[in-house]
Amino acid sequence: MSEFVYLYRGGEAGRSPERMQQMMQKWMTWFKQLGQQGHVKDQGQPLERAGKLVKGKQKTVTDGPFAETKDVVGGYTLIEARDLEQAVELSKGCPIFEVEGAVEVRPVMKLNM
Amino acid sequence: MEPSDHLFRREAGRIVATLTRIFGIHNLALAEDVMQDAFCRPLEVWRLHGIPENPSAWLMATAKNRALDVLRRERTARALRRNLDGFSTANGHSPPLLKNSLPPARSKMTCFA
Repeated sequence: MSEFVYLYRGGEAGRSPERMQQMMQKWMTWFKQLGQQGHVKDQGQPLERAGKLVKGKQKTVTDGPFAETKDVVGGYTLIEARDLEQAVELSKGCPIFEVEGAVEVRPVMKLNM
Repeated sequence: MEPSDHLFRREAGRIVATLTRIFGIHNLALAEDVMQDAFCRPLEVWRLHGIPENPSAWLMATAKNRALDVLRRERTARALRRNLDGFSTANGHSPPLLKNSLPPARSKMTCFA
């Protein structure tokens, strides 16, 4: 098994409490399913949308958000899967796609020492 | 924990009622905005980690904190505006840049889920 990180980008939920609850329950269902199949290595944490960006030799500090709202990473999860293809397939169950969000699937680099 | 389908709607009603008491009935729209904003943050955590035993208490506490933030910011804005008004009458002209650059009392709130 290899490790992958899911980066959740964008995705704006509806504003009604019913819609928010529905979305949250879909996330919980998806997550439970992944967990039961043994794919969740670390469920991760949501990230605040604002932050600072430190950049360059001058170490210039600027305010986040760093990209357009739809690109901002809102959270991450550490996943275990056979290969990149499987990790991508598993990500397709994420409810973020219903609200125009995206999941970036990135293999964690491993060194065999 | 499995919340009832109407948990959020019920809590939304209670929270708006409480916030209206804090903000005054003429600020009903503000109360609704604050409620929606206050729902967003717990949801992002719960969707990954599950709903706590007493979600109602969490939602209400977040909403009250958010309401205090808004009131505090409005008070600061009012105080600054008074200072600026004093400045402009004393000098007979508007202070450069500052006059219209105060942060709006209600910034755009965005919810991801």
